[in-house]
Amino acid sequence: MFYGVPPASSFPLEMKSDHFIIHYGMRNPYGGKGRGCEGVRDNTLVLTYLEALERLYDIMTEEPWSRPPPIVDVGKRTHVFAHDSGAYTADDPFADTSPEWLGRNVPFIVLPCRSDETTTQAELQRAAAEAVHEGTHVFNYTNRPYDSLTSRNWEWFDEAFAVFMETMVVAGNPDYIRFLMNWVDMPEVPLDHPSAKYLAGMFVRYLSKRLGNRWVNDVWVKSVEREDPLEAMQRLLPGGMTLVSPDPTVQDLFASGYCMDPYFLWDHESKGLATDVFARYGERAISESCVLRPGGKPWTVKREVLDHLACRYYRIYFKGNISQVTITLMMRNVGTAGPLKAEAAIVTAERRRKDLRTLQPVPTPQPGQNHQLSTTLDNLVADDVDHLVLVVANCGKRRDREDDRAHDDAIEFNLEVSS
Amino acid sequence: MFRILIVEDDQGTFTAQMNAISRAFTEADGELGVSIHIARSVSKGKQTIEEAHRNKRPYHAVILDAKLPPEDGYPTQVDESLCLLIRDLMKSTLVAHVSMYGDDEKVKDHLRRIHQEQINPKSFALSKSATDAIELIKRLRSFLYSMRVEEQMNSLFGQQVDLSFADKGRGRATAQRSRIERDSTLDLATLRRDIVAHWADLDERLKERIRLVFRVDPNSTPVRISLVRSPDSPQGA
Repeated sequence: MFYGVPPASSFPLEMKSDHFIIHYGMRNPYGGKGRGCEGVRDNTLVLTYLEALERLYDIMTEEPWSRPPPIVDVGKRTHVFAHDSGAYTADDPFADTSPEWLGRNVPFIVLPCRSDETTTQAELQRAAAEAVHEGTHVFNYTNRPYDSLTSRNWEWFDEAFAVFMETMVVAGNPDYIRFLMNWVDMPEVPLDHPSAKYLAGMFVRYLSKRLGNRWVNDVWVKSVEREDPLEAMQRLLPGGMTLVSPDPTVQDLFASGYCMDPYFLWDHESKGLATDVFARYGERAISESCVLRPGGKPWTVKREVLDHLACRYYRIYFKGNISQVTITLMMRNVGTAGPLKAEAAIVTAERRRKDLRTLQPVPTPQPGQNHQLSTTLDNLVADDVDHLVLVVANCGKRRDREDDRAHDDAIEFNLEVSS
Repeated sequence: MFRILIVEDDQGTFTAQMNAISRAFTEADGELGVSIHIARSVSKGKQTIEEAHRNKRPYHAVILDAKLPPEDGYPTQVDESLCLLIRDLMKSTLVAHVSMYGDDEKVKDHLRRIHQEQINPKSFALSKSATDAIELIKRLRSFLYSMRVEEQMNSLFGQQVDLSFADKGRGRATAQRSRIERDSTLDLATLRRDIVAHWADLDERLKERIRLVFRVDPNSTPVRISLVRSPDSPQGA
């Protein structure tokens, strides 16, 4: 029984570019044994891999990325194996390195030699995206090799960065959208959750829109060994900016930006603009919606739970003439302050954002009572308003180390909305 | 992170076990790799097990005295209900009996009937001697790290299959081969790190399985492993 990658010498064919060498075989060669499920149908797949990898190489080694060439063996090219498996990047401690990389393992790439995509176009788009994704891991490997324990905290950012590079290097290739279904449907999953590592590509994309590609690249290359991605990001932010903060007086990038802006996926004025994602999956999932009526009872949401570095959306529609709405969020069991931040905005009849409000702390009669946040939107004109959106974000950074339960913070809250 | 429950009414024994286990499961980067919980009696132990089961957070190992008080403050006795509950709710959990009553007939009878007469590699009994304290740590490390690596292997490469299948050569049935089905870069990296860090703790059967997947050089320090087979490997092509 053989599971690992066969040695390069056992593949009958190889194709070289300037920086990569692909080892492969044909399913139906002109002569000799066919490789069956371990062979490629024709050279198109191999050429697609090579072209995407070389394009990535050109981009990654130029401004603003300016990455050093990947660690290679004495053959001076990164080895790529077209094999009957999924795509992945790993490293080889047995490889013969040139003196400059002495003592370092050498990363290599495995890419599938076949695909069950239903059209050839989809197969080749996926091939290009996977090649860029794995090639990005090879570049990232130089700074944070897999055998280093400090690389563990960077895994989600490594994947997020690789997905982001797919959108940069093969722009127009929609293959990355396959990862985003849960990003749209499950905003309550933490940014750094192991199941959400590809989804976090949207966070990197958002940061690049706000701060530029150079800054995103700096997070990887200028981080120090013991930092985690969030610590490195905060340190590298321009003065006056905050990455994550529940403080209602602070416009942080996470809650006030990355959580609020992607509600407006369709809005060209929003940094969360992602019309391709919106066209495929629609708007982000709403935890609960209500219709307020004049003189009606307040709308309440009881015992909602939100995990760290995640958010929930609530939508409030009006029926009749309502000119004022008060929104109150009550956190449970959080002492004098909590990690939740809540912001409300009017979504106009033209589906644009207007009048963003951050819920402010409400003094409680006694310390130890539930922590409350509240805001009132007044002078509302029903004809101008499509609905109100309330975004509740958990700015806590705690991650449960024992397991990966969905709600490790157990931050509970109630909502009350009255007119 | 491993979850371990210690059921022990003697504070000194508990403290010694907790310290030894914490030391043994501190990773190279200083991060504690174990979460230790305690119960002082059989009833508290059962309550803790049931709660962990309800919360879907089973214990990887339970270390317990063979003679425990049924309730806090009661005299100690052999009570099988805790072991039976663990076996019922947490079939994969390691049960380690550590007792100073190893020669007691009732204890012997319990170990024989509930643990040793069953084909059950997930339990063992030791005394409270210093030698056995070292043995406890050794067995805990072997069981827990082997279990974790095996789970990762199963997740990445599928369940263990009949090894004799290796002889069938080129006509091997693809459907039965284990394969990587997704971008497994980081899962592979985690597995590789775990194997390298804990090679000495892994059981021999698992090491043999690892050699089917990876090229391994166990003579280097740390052990070197790679998914790319050696050109001179008999399984290389």
